[in-house]
Amino acid sequence: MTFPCFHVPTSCESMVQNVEFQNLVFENHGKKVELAVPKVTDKVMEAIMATLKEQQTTYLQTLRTNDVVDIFHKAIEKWLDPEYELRKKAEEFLPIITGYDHEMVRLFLGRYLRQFRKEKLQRMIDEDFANPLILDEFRPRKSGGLYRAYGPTITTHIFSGNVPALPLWSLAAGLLLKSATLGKVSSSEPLFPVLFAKTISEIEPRLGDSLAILWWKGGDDSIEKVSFSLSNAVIAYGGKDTIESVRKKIPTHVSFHPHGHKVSFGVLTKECLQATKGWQAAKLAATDASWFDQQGCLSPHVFFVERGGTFSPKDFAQMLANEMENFQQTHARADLSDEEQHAIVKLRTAIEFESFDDATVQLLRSEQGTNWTVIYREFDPMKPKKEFPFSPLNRFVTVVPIDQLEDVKPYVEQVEGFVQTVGVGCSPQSFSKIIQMLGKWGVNRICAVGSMSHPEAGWHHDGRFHLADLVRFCDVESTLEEQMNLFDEYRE
Amino acid sequence: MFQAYEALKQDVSQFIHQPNAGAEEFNKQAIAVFQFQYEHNQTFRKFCRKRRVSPRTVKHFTDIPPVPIDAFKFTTLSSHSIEEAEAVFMTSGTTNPEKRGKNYHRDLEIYDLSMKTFFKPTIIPDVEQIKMLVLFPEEEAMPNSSLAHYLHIAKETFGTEDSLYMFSEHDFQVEKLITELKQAEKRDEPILLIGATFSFIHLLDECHTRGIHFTLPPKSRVMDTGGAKGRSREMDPGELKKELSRLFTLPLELCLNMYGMTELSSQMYDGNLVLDKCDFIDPVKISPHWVTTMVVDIDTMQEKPEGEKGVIVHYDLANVNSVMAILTEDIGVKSGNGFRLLGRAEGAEAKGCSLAVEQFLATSKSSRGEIL
Repeated sequence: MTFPCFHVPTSCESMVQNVEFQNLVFENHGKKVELAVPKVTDKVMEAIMATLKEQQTTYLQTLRTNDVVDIFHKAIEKWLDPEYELRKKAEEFLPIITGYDHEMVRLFLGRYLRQFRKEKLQRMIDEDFANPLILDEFRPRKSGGLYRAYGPTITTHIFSGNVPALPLWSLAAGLLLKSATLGKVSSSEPLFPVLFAKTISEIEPRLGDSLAILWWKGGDDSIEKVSFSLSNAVIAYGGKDTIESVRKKIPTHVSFHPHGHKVSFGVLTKECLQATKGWQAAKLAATDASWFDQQGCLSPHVFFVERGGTFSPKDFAQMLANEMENFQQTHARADLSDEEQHAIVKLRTAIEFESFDDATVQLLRSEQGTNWTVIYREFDPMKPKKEFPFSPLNRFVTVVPIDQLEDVKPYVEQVEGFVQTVGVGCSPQSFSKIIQMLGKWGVNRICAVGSMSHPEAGWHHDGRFHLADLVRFCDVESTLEEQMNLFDEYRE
Repeated sequence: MFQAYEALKQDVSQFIHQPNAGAEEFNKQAIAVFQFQYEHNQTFRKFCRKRRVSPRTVKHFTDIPPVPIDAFKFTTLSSHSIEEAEAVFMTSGTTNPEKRGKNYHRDLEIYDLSMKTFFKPTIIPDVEQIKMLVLFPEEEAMPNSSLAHYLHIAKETFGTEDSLYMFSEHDFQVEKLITELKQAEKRDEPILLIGATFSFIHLLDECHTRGIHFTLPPKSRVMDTGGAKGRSREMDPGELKKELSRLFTLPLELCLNMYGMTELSSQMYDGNLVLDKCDFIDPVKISPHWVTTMVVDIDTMQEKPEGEKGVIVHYDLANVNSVMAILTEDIGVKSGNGFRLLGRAEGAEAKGCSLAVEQFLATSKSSRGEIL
């Protein structure tokens, strides 16, 4: 099966149809799909950017934010209908494209899309702007004068492909700010943003015409030069290399919003390891460590588990292993490349041989292949350096026992500035202490264990404003407001 | 123990001397080596027990779990106490100098026999002895290098008296080599240039800058091994062959490559001089009859069908003291009687924005503040 995979404003369609196409081939779960993507030239890109700009000035700019919210909401409503054609298409093809389990993709889509309903979008806006009306008109400031916020005329998004549909966060941010959008899709998941743009077009063709979703090979100099220099903001997701390569190409007049690589982990206090709760906690932890095969930056590399519960942290590691296997049974991990497999085998080897001579280290692994791995590794007071137990991902997680929460600190210091999410399991008695500590250590999102992969609407991604970081304010000072009366012709 | 070891060596040695031994004999001999190693190599025994493998369960040599080569870095894999080891060969530790893989050899009897027996038909089937110019340091300078030992044995066994090392201690004597080559051109005696790939690349670059070019006597040849190892620029193996053939005016057929590993006791070679049909730019590698090389799916450890890529596993009967089943980090495909190397399975770059360890290690502290 071959499908064209791109979205451009209607007036650019015939031009794009005439460029050379390339097929991106995906094979998983015994099925194959080919996505035909246009290899746009810099000339074509220039024309598309010009159209986007025109569309932003003549149409998008004239909308009120609530109009955009309404259109977006209608799109989400369509997508939440399991019978909606494009949703069905996504459910069919995303597993083939990404290799992720069908059921996991289906469940995720539903849960994730609900985050973009009207109320949630409004929350996203209200979170960042005390008076959301400033996005539409000049409004009075409390300190005097007026102000208004303008989104970038054109925002270019460099999407990552690790988790399907993730680009929606970024896409929503741009549109809510009435910014025309150029989205560069990832080679590992180029489909979802295109489908969503098609839905927008179905609901409001003029808004659809303010969007272009294209693929090009990351790092393509001529295309990136054109698209970045004609944008007003660039948002990029990806690893260090991607971010650095993009950063170098962004002209100074364009604002850059990188979301580089991050790590996440979990913390469980002893109350979670009491008789009846232990298994529940293990199941939640296994979900966090298995969801999207740990590819998201919200996925935990390690769980720090407090001693003193009915179950010991070592018991917990075994329970976690069982739950990882259960998750594997219901949502099998994606097939991996030889390189990915090897990363797991290499680390397992090192740990296995270490465990032969060291009882404080234990390797628990799936019976078959590399499906999941749980490492139990005690905190070694003799070791001067507490190495953060990085995971090679794809369902490989470490359990580290701790005597008190402070024991986590030396590990966190290793990854200072890179911590994204901490999934916490605790009782109300330790809640306040935990959040204060984690906050102080530089963590920017704390959630319940089991919810790590599902951030709530309005979250501060990487600790920053989602929308407010993108806008430009225009302040009208009170001096003018007062002084203009001086020149009033009708003044008595 | 001593008797068991001597007896095993004798059996393996006999097997090496039987070029017509079939699959059944290989299997029998492999199981014998496994039994010895299971009994005397404690770490390996633990490794097998974790996998519920014991001499009772192994009916076919493919039931023996191959040990990932990384294990040579983290643990001691030896059937004898390491104090008894006559030689210990270490990996170069290009990635992490603190963690070098160690292969202990109680003695080098079988190693040397293996080396000599397969070198002859694959590199010099048509000559008894040949003048060698060795592009690698002498054994004394690098006592823990398996390659230094290998080249020493090659030179002692098959080199003419006037064979020479082109290294002084650790320094490549490129001038001396160029002078030697110029002299060799004038004689009618073939020469074998043998040594590390990176030295050949240095030589190529040097000759290129100076516009030098040689016409070596007929039957001269080249054997490189080991790759660039970060000590010279990287070159595609096929491209290297073409360049070497041009530099020395040699037929491509006589530009050969050896594939060896510190963790093994045998070597594999390009099939150029052995196979009836062979692509000389991208030749298949062949293993001696006492080594079975397989391409497996690393997830299931099942053998891949011919032509499908996977990870290379060697069952090397000559690796008597450590472990004979080795899981490499090389990606390859099975092709006829041999295999093709496609590269190394380096640590994979994570698909997304989650921070993988390699990326983290590569991140300097200075860039921290910039990441928002």
